[in-house]
Amino acid sequence: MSATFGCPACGKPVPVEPVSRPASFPFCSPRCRLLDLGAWCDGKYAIAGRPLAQDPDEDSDHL
Amino acid sequence: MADATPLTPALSSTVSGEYGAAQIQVLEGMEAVRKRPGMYIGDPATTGLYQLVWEVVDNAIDEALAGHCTQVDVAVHADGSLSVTDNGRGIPVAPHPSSGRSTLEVVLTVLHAGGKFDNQGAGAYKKSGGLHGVGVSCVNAVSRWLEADVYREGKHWRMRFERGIAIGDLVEVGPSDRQGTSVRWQPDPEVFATNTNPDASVIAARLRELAFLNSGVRIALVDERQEGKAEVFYSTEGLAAFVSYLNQGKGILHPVIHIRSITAEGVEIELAAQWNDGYDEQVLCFTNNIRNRDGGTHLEGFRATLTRTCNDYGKNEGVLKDGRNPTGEDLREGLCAIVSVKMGDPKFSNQTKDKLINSEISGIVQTSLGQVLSDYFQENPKVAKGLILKALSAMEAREAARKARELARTKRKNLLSNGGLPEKLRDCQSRDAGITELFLVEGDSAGGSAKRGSDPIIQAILPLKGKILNVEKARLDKVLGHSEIAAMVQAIGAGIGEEFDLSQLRYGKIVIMTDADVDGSHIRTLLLTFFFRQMVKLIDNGSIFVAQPPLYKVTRGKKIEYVFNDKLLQNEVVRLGLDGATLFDRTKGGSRTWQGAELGTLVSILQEFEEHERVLAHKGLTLDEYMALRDANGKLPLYRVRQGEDDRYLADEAALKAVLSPIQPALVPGQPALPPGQAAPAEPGAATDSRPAILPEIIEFAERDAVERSLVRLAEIGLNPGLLLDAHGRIPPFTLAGPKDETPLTHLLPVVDHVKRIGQKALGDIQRYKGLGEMNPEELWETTMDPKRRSMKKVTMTDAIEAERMFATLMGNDVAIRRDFIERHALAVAKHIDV
Repeated sequence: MSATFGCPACGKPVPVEPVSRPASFPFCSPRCRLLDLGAWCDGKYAIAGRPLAQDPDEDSDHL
Repeated sequence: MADATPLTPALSSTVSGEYGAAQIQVLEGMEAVRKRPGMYIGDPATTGLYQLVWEVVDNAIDEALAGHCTQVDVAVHADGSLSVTDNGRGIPVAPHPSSGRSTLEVVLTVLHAGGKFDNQGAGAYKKSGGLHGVGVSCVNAVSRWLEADVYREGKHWRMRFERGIAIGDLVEVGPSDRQGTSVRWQPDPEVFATNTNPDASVIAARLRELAFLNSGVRIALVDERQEGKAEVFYSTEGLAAFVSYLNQGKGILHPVIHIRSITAEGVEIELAAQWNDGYDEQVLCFTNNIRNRDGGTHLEGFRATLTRTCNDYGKNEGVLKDGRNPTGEDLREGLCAIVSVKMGDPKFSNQTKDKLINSEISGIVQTSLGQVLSDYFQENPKVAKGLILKALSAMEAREAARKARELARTKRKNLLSNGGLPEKLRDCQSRDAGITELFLVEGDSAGGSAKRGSDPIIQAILPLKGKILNVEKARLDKVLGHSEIAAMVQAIGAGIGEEFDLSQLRYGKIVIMTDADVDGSHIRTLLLTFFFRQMVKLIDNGSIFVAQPPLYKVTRGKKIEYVFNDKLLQNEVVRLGLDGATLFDRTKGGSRTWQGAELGTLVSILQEFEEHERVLAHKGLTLDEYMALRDANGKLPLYRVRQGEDDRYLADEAALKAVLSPIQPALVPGQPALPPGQAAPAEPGAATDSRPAILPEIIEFAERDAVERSLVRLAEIGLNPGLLLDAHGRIPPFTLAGPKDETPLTHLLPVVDHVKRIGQKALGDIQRYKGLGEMNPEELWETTMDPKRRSMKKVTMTDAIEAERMFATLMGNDVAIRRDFIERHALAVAKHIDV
């Protein structure tokens, strides 16, 4: 795995190694971390579910 | 200077016998400065020493402002004295009309003497920084000695003072073709105590500032204490160059905005501004070149103008929608600016001129700057929109910071209701974080089971609602809302973000327990991503775990077994199948019987072959076909080189090299190759054939050695490889017998499937858990929560980064959020692309 990681907010590379990574890790800056926290608080991070019309049992019992 | 001094003219001290009351008063004036220097030059222990330099330099700069001076030389001498020399007009030496003493002496010994009081009429300076006439006489008062040299009207004059008192008369040293004033003084240790060794870099910073503020004036600093180290400050671009200097090394977002305006009242206003990608605001204010550390009315005017002009522009251009109004503070984030006004009769809050207080200036600045700035925005829409978007991001961060504080504050507010803990939390009784566990359980019904199926001493349960009906009510989206985030932050108790403090952690383990379906995995991904992003120390600390609830419940008679994943279930099926199956083998004449452990060994070898077959299928070969590819030396191939229609199978690397090197040396393994099928770049002059060569596709059969090992294992139990595969027309040499039936088999590979079929029949009733909620409390306790029986997965940093990637992929569909984010960071992003 590479030694850097893209800041989840702005994409700038951020070092991953514990010795070199910033206090704001995994973000490049406290600002990016704060914007992300704001998005969590506002419930902006939603993973779309399946349309409700579909049979909810479709992917089970495939033994 | 009529209003300035109550002092009656003093006579020269050399006129003996006329030592009168007037002279006493002068001495009192100088003595007052020496007794209370802080009032005049600031704290002698810190800034006072430098203030002396500023006072004398300001006088020289005033000459420059008036257009009479182009060069100012400042020196720190080896003996600790300082000097300032200019090429201005020279302080007048003629007798002062109201005192009879030389003007030079009056300027240097009388407080409130100077040429800057009357900017309308008779005064020597229209606009100046010095204004009370206090400055240079204060310097004199606190100096052990001071020498002033004046070059004026063809002559060189000199006068010397000690502690503010003239020592001898003004002396004409001789003729001179120079012009200007030079003042050299030694700060008095009686006033400054040990603080008489100025730091040249502090002086250099101010002189640099002055050079930027006074385009065309050359200012030099020599430090004789450092072997005459010299610096020259000179700028022709003024404030724009100043801002560029201040923004050095920072990510700048646009060229410097530099505007000037002169009002009807004769006030000159100059602004240079440039935003950087940082978050600090740095606005320096000057009045007549004097730095006003605390700003004042010109700063107020500038701030008001900036806020109003940006908001007006944003609304008119549709950049600011839905009533979003960034505050002045938001707009000034990352701003580096210089506001300079030049005006007659400035008023300051104190002698060190920290704050401009002329109240009319705020309005004057707003009126004149507003229009110019608005015009600039119209002409530079990219810059204007960029900085408004930046301000919106600042606003969002400010709101996020407020929400983060609220997450922590709610805790205190609820202190009375549930010990400061979220209402939904069923806390554990122990307060020993060494043994306690917090289960984050998705769904209310699962939460109920978990509460009843847990150890109330050490296990706390926090049910989370992770699914909400989306806006169109067409889907159940997975989301952690504000109340879920707040509940987790409060329950965990260690804060969030930069303030996260592991020592405050209320539980030793935090266990994510979600359903074993797609929704459950999405909610787990959300939780892991949240912890990774906002509480990464929990992951470093190894505090996060993922519960492993069973996927199947298998009931056979009265016996109940829990199976945790599909692979384990398959193993169980095979195990049961082996119990009930017998393989009759007639390949060696008589009849051999395979049962139990022996049959188990055979089945495990056959399963290896199933795996080989699966892998080979990806490379377009059946096991049958692959095994037929043994070469003359009896070796199975390790590589296939396919060029067009032509396939070549090669047993080792040497053979591969031999085949490849004539085609393209760079393709020899170990060197990067182009994607298969792509034309190699033509080497100039190398090829006579103009057709691009088709690069060969190289496939490695990394599984070859494993295939050979499986074949060896097969031979070890006395079976030959030919029996693996179907040979057409072969009379079935095998029979697999189960409890109820018998199946003739022509070859070995199908044995696995038949054993499984028998096993499945024996397995009994299989129930697949669709969710945690289907488990009763006892089942949940036995399988998932009981510390003695459960297995849990500790989340590593690698797992967390994987979750983050997964999250990014899942979020990738949400175009709206990404677009919104990119728009807001367009300015910064554009910069990164440009670089």
